[in-house]
Amino acid sequence: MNSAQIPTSTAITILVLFGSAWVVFGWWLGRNNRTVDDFMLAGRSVGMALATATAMATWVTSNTTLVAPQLTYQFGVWGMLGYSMAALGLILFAPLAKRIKQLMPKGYTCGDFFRVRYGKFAWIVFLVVSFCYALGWLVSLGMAGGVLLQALSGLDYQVGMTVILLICVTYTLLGGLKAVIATDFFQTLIILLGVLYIGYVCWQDVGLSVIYEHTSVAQPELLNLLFPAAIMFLFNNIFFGIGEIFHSNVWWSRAFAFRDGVGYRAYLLAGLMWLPIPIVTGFIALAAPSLGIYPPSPDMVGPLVAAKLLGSVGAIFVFIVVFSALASSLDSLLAATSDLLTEDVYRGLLRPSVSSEHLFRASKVIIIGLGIVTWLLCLPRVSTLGELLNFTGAFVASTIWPIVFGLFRSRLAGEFAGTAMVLGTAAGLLGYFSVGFYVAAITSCVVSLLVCSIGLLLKNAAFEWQRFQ
Amino acid sequence: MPGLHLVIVFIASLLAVDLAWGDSVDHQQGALDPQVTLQVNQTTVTEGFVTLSWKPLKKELAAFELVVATDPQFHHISKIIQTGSQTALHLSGFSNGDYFVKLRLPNGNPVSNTTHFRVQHRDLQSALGLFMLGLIIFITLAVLLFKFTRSSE
Repeated sequence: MNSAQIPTSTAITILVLFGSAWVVFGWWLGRNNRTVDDFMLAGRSVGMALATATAMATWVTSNTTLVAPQLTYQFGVWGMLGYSMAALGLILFAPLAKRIKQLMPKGYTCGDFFRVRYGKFAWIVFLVVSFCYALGWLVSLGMAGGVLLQALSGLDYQVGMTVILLICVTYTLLGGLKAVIATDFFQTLIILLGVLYIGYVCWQDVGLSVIYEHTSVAQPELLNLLFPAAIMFLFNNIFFGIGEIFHSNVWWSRAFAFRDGVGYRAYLLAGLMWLPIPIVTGFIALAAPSLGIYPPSPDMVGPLVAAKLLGSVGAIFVFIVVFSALASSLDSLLAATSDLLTEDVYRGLLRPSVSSEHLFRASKVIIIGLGIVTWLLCLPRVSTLGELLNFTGAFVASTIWPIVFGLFRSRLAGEFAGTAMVLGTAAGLLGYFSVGFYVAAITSCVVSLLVCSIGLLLKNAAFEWQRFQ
Repeated sequence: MPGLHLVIVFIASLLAVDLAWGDSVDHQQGALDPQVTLQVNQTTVTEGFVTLSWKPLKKELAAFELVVATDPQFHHISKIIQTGSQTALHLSGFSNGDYFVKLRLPNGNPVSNTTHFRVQHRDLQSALGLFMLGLIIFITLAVLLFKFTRSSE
């Protein structure tokens, strides 16, 4: 048992207490859900505080609490800053959220936008890109849940993975988006307090000058601003983050769910509040060698430093923060992906004339089905699947320009938008395999921009905005 | 006295051969009959980080010192890390160069083979080129979004 581990019995107690609280809370919030709008979009009336909290909490994933320290430990100052720049995705989505609500006040999913704006070809390409990403993220979160609970408490992988999936599926099923958003609010508070406290203790106990002096001798490249791989990583991570947020129904469904006038301010504020979190979680990784900590695997550097600084209480603290971060992302992804399946695949492709009541029931069945599929894919514990998420950088970055031009300009035609996503993804994957994960997103984004620019020059689609109404 | 010079040169040569042979034997013994097998996850590193792992044959030999040096004779030691109960270490922040690693007991006796990895960071010109491309695309995106938002209001 390493210093970041807590006894399995303590871990089970925490899981039971927090899991029960969230499930009961989800049931209580969802008891008045009557329509698809209530269930999928929280009645389209989410206010500023909850909107900001849910946007922020969903973007704080297990990656923010574990991979941000890892990237700082590996890529140094650029790793820390590069990860925090993922906040730009939230900040730049603010004007998009406003435009989305303005254009599609009755919209349900981002798939609706692609179908109406660009036609069938681009819609199908987009759905493939979106499901590849959503499934990759869902499976990696489920697996991360099992792996992390095992690493932090010795709890069996399959038990930990099953429990966290079961908790999230249950309260999402009972409460819909209302439950997801409300639990996100409390999970945000836990994550923020936990991260800030650990950062403060690190600053007080170790000190900036000690960390700087030790790192400059023991790990000089981490302070080198001309560290080549880290420089390459910076903008790639920015475009990966922007692509993730711009295309994903997780963020579009929130734009639809927020009350009029809330989306712009909520996303802007959430981005600004999120920005320092990876800097704090990354900063503690720089203290590792000063504390004599050299982790067995890079993603354990954050928990090991926290446990060393705070003792056994710190390990419990880390466990709760990581559990909250995992749950806040997993529930959002479950809800948003099931919305996309319900609206775009079930109603859009299979049963176009289905009634609203039928759709309400179908959305619940789809959440359960999605949970089961995720559980089955997570069972074998293919550890490389987590790494496969990096592939999705090539997919998601290709959607940035078709979304931006599609929302604000009537000129771009569907065939060019679809081709931009296909060629962008192909080029990104080529970069991934020939150079490394840190060039996939940027390559995809550049090629997609080129295709969209050619499309804007060659053809004027003259799209009529009223078609969204 | 040329004869004396020859004798001195001969004795010095013998000593040098002996010293070199001694180091070589030590290194070879570590490689041929190690109590612990030390491995590195990649021998050529372009990002400055590596994972070292080992499997102790006897449980009582679990706590070691991991020694990192820039020469195979371990004259220039850059890191000494207490491993505790860990059987793997992820190390980062290495500058360009060749690195040699071995495990030893707290009393200084080596217990593993010596393993080697080379750090050769990626070309800075290409990295800066990609950085500039990213910066230009990002500024384009931000300016377009600002312009589009203004014109749609």
